Amino acid sequence: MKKQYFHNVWKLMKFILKRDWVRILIWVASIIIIETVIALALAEMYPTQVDRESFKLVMDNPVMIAMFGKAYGYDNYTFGAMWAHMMYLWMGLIVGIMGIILVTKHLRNEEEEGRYEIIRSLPVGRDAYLLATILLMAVVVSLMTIFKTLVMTFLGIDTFDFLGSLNYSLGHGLIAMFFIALSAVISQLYQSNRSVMGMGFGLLLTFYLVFAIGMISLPFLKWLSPFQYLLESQAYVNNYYWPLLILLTLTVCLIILAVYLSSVRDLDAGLFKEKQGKKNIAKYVRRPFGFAVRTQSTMMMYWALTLFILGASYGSIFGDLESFLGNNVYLQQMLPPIPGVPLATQFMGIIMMVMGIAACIPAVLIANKVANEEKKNRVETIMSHPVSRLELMISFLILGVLAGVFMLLVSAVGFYAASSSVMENPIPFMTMIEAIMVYTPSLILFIGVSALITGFTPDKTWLVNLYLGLSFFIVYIGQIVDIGDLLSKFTPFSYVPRLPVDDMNWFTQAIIVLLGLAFMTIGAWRYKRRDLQG
Amino acid sequence: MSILELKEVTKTYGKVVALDNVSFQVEKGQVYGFIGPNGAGKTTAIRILLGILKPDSGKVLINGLDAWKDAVEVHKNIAYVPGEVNLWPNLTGGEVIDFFARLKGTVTEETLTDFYRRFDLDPTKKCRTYSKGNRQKVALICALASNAEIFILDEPTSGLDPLMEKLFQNYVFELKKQNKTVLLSSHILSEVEKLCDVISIIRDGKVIETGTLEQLRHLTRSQITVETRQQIQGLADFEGVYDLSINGNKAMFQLDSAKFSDIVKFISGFDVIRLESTPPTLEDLFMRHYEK
Repeated sequence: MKKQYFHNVWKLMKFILKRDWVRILIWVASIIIIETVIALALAEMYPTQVDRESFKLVMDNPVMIAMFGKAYGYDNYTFGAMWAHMMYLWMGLIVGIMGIILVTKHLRNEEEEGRYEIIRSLPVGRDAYLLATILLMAVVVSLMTIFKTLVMTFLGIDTFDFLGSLNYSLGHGLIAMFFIALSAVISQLYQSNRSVMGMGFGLLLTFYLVFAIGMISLPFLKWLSPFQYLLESQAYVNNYYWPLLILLTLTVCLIILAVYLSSVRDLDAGLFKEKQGKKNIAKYVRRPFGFAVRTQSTMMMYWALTLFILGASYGSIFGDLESFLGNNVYLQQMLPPIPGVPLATQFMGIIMMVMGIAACIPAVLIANKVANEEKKNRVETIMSHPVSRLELMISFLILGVLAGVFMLLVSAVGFYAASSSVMENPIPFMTMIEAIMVYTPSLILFIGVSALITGFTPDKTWLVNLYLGLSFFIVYIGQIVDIGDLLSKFTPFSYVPRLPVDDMNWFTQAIIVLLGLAFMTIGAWRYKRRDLQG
Repeated sequence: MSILELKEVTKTYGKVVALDNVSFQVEKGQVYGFIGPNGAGKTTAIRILLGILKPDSGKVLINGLDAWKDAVEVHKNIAYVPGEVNLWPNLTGGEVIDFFARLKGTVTEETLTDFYRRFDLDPTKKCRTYSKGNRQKVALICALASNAEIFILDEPTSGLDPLMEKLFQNYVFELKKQNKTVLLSSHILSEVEKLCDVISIIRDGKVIETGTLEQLRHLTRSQITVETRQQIQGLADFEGVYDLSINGNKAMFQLDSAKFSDIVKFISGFDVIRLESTPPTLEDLFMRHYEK
């Protein structure tokens, strides 16, 4: 290797690892843990061939094929085959996202923040930092592959053999590396980290859609997507290695391209210029509320899209729901039959809960912005104008509530659009709206908690996120395992009635709303009286 | 009545005393310089003036109104440039300036266009692509384009090139002509020297010196160089003379400003060829006050 280009790669790798090891560890550990937990849960849920056959039946429609890919090992649908059918593609997407998130931090981001300049002023090769980043990622991904192979093999599930687990883990490792290499190339082309990440995720989504379209209508298309090569390795069934070899080749080519582009371009330069923006702000931005809308609009748009897709994907499984749920002993336990209530309506309650909580995420993010603006030292600039603190805070809180309600609506619309097209007796739209809108009081409570924390300190808003995460965990796991009444008392979601199966509890919901409003009032009262950090 | 007034203001963060019984006032039409080393309390004082921080004790009045309680009313007449300009990465500079202009409500599109041209700023670029200097320009345009009565500027020229610095200084002269009030906190002493009518030096949370540049100079020493035909005797014992160095018939020393006439009388007996007196620069003042 030429000194000019790659000097001190090893030291830089250690430097990156020092900065990032916690993040890396959390990502890798979470992925392995999640897969382990799901694998064990599924093994319990689908113990017999009969159970798996019913699952296969549900998966055997165009929507499902587009979403999960076509099953292989159809004739002998072992647990391994079912697992790969269900998880291979989706975990592939997740490790792809992991790759993009882990790597982009060290690409344009460093350059944009001006840190890369300092590194380049040291005695390091011109492309050493890029190469060090990619090599470190390769090491991380290799370790993940090895660990996952071992964990899967020794999980005690009989069709999880060593070769299958190796193939499966290797596939995920390679797809992660593919997106890491792709991000490295993209970051040579765009000038801002935001564009690089946007393009990275955009391409990931495009590859997924290309694959989905290829699965249902234009078969040649799927070969343009890396996900096709992933699935084609047919882990746990045939364990082919040639598709993985192709992925590896593509990845190596991308890495070479990235390093080449990096060595010929200037610092801070990119092939594509930043898009020109507007000279004037939109007409509706007159006061802080409009400003809040303007600064959050992109984020809200993406969340609305995500929730629509989430709703639609849940809705799409409702077509064969009766046969799916009917044959599965485990799900029958979860949803004991209630006379006069169709199973679909009952199942909808669980879906609504997931979507209701998901809609709280963007709402809380917006409410947390009050504290965030302060942490980023931007509040002082706003506050030096004739704007009261109350107006600033209330603007974001109201936007949070409105956005949350909108997200609830969008997810229900997505859910309705998909479910009504696949069901023989669709659930009426208004029933769904009622079932989802009942999450509004809980949403208000969460915004209240955010306001309360912001009122005292801007540094602790992660507590709101933690509370939301735990609440989800409590009610979701509470579906399957009895976790005790005490724990479930602490989350508003436990008090949300599953309409139309449960009766509406107006009184309880009114208390939740009042509690939320009280938190907001206390938060605002404190916010008005304390020092702002900046 | 003073337009800006701090009366015995104290502000502590836990055990750290950021401002210790600070008082000063700025009169209408004054350009008031506020200098001091990093961490002296300049930014704390400014944030208290803006009602972002609440003083532990003391009074802060702007136009006779309480800076904390009547913050919104007060801010109608204030333009502020923060020491470190943080902007919204996904908005363009134009959008940010536009929004603040609308909050103030008095700025026309033509004024802004004129400012963009003069400061050479592209308002269609996203803030995240701006350099430090360009972010500074955004904040300066926000402030200068407004119709405010009081301008609070926290190191407003940091990151600007000399041309822009000059342009900024011209605007400050312009503001002075319009009888507007400016509080200028700065490290660039030549700038303060050029622009300010009154200067306060702050250190460790205390205002240690306040006055016009002339008054401040009087408090300190001048550098004297004198050349005579006869060798000067007895200078070393003279009261008010410091750092004396004699080189043949040439003497160099520092002199307390109050002793000026005495020394002139004294040395005139030695047949003076040349006498140079250099008044202390603000930098000398600054250094004298800062060195512990």
